Amino acid sequence: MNILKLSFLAFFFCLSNNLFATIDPSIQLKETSENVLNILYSNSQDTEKEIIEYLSKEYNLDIIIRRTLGRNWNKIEEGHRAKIVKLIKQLVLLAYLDGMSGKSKPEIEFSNTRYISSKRAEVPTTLYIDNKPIVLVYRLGLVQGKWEILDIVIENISIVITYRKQFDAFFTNNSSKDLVKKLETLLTDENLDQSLPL
Amino acid sequence: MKTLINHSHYKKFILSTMLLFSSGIFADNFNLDYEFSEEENWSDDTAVNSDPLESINRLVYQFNDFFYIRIFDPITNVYVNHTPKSVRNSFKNFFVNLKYPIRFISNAFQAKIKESYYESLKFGINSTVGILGINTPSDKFSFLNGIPDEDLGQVFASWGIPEGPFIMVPILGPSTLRDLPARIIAREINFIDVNSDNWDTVESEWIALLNTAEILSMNEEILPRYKSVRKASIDPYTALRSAYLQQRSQEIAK
Repeated sequence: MNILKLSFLAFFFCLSNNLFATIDPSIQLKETSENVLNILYSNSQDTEKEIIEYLSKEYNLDIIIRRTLGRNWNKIEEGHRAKIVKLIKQLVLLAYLDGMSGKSKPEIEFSNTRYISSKRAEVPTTLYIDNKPIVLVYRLGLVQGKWEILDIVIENISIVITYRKQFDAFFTNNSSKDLVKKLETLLTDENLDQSLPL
Repeated sequence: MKTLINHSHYKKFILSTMLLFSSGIFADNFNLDYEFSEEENWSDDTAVNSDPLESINRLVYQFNDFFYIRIFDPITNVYVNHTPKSVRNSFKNFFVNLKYPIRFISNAFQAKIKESYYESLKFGINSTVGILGINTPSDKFSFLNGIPDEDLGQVFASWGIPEGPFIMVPILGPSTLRDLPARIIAREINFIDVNSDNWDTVESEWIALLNTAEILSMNEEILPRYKSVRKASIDPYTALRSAYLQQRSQEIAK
């Protein structure tokens, strides 16, 4: 009798696992985006850290970072990999949050999820930042039965492609040690946007 | 109960349950290292950016960057901080409306008759009811919203002219061999183009003033985006090139 009960339990657990994969990924995205905006527009001291911690709980951010590096992953020394992933995560988040910031808290409109295949989906959204509409598409993939963010496309510009092109160019003349140095400079230099290139 | 289900049925049931259970858990195991096949990636991931003029382009980029950050940005900040938003919006609407001939011709050359008609209708409403395009009463008509902005570069692409190499144009910024002539022609079609022969006349002073206002109005939109790309880039030149080419390819595909 106990075996029968256990079998039914296992069967329903298995069923729920497969059902989870069929849940519309936009539901989780909606909740996550709302919470990210709430943190962003709160008066918190360390918004960036809080958002990274929150997003890491909701999604496996290493996936999008690994995708930005693409084939360059093999060019990175093993000792530098964890640090580079951490630094790029901060940089990508900076780009993402910069795109979401406005004078007032943006409104997000979610359109219907487009299923590209059984393991790929796109969630188109429109962000109204200071009343200006910005089209933002989340590209998602089913990884280990869970929808994970593979790419974010802001106004037709893919974060993954844009960063991957930069890494391709960077690794033609530089090493992973140089990348660590470059990323650290980018993330610490507060006056970077005012620095003179000439 | 024992009489209904015998031992072999138990075994089969447990086996099939475990099989189903394991299929759910391990179905995506091949994705653990996040490497997806090219078909499963979105196709544009593999696009190659043709840039044989890269060394020259990078020099032009440095010049442009200096110009944008050191000259355009402070002037634009003064404009934004000292001009009410309603006035800035009116300027923007006015200049967008003036570009109607380019949008009309570009739609017509691509045989987009409906879009050409809608553009004309929009121009007619905004130029009259909207007082020279300063206001946009056409927004009240849903079918007149969201008409894609067509340009001559898209026309050339639809005619099968290849994109050609990427070109960084002084002051104007990123372009391609196909888009650059399109931009020059568009400038000639522009209502408020400055003709160097007329610099001495009073009219040309107004035209120059309008041109300056147009540049300020454009910069208000473009510069914040440029600065945010620049701030979060490992290689801002490559980021700008990739962003421009991605955006153009999507505009052309529509």
